[in-house]
Amino acid sequence: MDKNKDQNDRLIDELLKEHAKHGTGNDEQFLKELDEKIAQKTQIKPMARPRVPLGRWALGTGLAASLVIGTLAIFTVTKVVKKAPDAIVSFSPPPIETHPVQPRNVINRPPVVPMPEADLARSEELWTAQNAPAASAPPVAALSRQIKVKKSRSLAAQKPRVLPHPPHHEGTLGSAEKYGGLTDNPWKAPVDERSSLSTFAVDVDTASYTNIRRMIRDGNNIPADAVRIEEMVNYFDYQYAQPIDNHPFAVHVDAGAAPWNPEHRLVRVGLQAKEIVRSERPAANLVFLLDVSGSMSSDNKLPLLKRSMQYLLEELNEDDSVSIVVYAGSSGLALPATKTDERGRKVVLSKMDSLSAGGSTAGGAGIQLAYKVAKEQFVKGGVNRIILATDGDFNVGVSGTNALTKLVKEKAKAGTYLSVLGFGSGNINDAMLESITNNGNGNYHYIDSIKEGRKVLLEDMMGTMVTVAKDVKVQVQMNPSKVKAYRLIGYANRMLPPEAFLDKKVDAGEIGAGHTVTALYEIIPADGKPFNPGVDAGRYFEEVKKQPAAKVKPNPELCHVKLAYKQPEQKVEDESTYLDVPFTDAGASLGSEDHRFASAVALFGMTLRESEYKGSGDLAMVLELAKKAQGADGKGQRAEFIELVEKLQQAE
Amino acid sequence: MAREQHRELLIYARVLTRNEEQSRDLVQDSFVAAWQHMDRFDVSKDVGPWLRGILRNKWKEFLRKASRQVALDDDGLEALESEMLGWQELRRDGGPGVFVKLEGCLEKLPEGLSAPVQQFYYEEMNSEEAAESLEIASGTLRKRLERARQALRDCLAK
Repeated sequence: MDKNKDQNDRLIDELLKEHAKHGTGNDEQFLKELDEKIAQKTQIKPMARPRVPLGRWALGTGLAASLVIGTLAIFTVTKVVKKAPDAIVSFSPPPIETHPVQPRNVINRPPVVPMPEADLARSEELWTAQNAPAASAPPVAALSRQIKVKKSRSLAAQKPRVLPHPPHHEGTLGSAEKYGGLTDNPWKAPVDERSSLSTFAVDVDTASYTNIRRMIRDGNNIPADAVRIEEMVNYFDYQYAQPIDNHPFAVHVDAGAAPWNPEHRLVRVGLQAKEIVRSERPAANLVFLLDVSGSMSSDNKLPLLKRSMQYLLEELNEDDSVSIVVYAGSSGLALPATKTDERGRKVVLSKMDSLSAGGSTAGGAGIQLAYKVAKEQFVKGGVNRIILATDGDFNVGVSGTNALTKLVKEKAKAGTYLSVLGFGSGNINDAMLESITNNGNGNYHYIDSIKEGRKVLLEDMMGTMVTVAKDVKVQVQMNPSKVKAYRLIGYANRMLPPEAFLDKKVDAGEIGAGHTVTALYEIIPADGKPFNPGVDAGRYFEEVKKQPAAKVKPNPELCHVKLAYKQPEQKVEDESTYLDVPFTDAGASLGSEDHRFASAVALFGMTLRESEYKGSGDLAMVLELAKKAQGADGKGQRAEFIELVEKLQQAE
Repeated sequence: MAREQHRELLIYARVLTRNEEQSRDLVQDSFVAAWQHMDRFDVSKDVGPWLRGILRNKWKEFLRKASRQVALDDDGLEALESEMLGWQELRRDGGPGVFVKLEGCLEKLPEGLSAPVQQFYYEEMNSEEAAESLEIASGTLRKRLERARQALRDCLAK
């Protein structure tokens, strides 16, 4: 082969490799690194570009470096060739006081990379993997609100800014955070057997709340799709009583008026998993899978993880072991399994110190290695868990999220679970990180402070690590003679068809010791008249004059809450255990303190999502509700919530 | 600009350097240099060749510093350049770009060629594994991959 031909052969070779890696989308990691590099340059040499076209104007008005890039793009477009506007760095000239945070990536997500047919078939067959569509669904226009919040003092102190442009992690090329499209569950009238049943998988994730907290504190926009109301509600502690029977959790149901629409009822379904006494905790085999790509070096990432890990290490003893696998350009075993006795703890910490961040991200090999290490150390009957810490995309090659989800799921079946810890901002692939843990009987947390790190690694993780039940599904049947229509708030990407409840093969969320799960139903009480669906179907249907139209057994209950779960060690083919709690609404107008606080959090979520269901609710109502329901608030979570809402309210 | 150009430029750098890390660094540096010297950009020209020129110079500079011989002769560079100008044409008038075109071309590959491409590039098998799963000799696999690349190249140029 002659030389020229060889060059071009190599060119196609590289083209194919690149396409296999990123499909038709962008190499976000690369763009992010470039972004940081340019931001650095700007800070060091702010005046290095005296002859940039429009440069004086750009500097003079204090616009971000992104604009300069944009300027060139525009320059190229208007003066050189005509190119499609969507192929070019798009931007809107930002008003001077606001940050030019560009929602482009939220809207213009790179298409999902093509996946092997086998994966496609599998992902379709696994309709329980209902989160995969959430991860790959076309994005909904995400930014519905502009929030202008001044930087909090602590943040400003951390990041001295030379030029009046955003800190580099927010991105001069735009934030690359990704959120899958999320919808609200609509009203549903219980007119027949199927429609009277509402079925969903439990969710103990809390990432959405901490993520939103970070965005409010940083004064960023909050994409509606980043707001998962159930995760916000579940972030807070509620005082549910411990189980008194043999079930691993207790179910509590109560009701009060819906604050945003007092004629509606708000039914709260609460699950409380049993606490496990410390000494009973089984031995743990933890494999940390750490993203050590260049971007992880900032203070709020690897160093924060390390400080958070200290809490965890204090809790572990000589029966437990910790291993560390790192991934970046290549992956490797940084620390083989180490027993966490007095000496071992020091070894782990000093290893964390010696890790340096650098290179690009290639997670696929890393996760394989982590599972291998976990398998070697497998503790039968113990806690076997991989803890993935990353600040962005998990680069897994061509088959992307689906292949990864498949892998995580298979390993979970074999007894090794996955937890994901998200760090930093700017590149978080929120939808994917959530989706892989949903399917993997794992959980996803977002860590933005040492306080949160402690909560997640010590309180949540030690709770999570002792899984008390898995495949926990909830099915609520509404009584048509009492309920005109109902709506589950949140859980939109966790909904299951009614049949899934009795189907033992359908997997769902896990619950750890001491965890609580809360779900809220908004209910329009029955008044004998049908729920107006707002559609014209009169051609073939008789007009329904009363509801319930079908024959309904007389029963004073409002609804019937059923749960299905499996013991952690049970297999796919094993039968689930069922328990049920009927609920009759006494009609109290004011719910309990916890009930009202949960409703405040839910309303906050609905307000952030600009949900059409928020009725008369607004931030002022959220505040009023939360303040009156603050209660004992031992950990100060509720006070922090109130502070957050106030901050947002002032900004508007 | 970076968004539009980075992946093609990365591919270009990989052909030159045959090293992933170096390629990424080189492309990063080139974008930074481009951004710093935007005033020198002749607005009547296309940005792709300009960026490739910067990258080439950076690469040559690096090779000189490492006192190695320049790996590419000018003919080779020219052949590369003409190929990549073709990719650029695809984007003209809002065209879909090379990656989208590539997907179309991949679909048109005959079965005998598409299976090796699928296994080798998209399922990240090494050539032995891919050859084994296709039940062909590894030499045959290499030949088929080469033919597939040639076919794709022709298809892209159409």
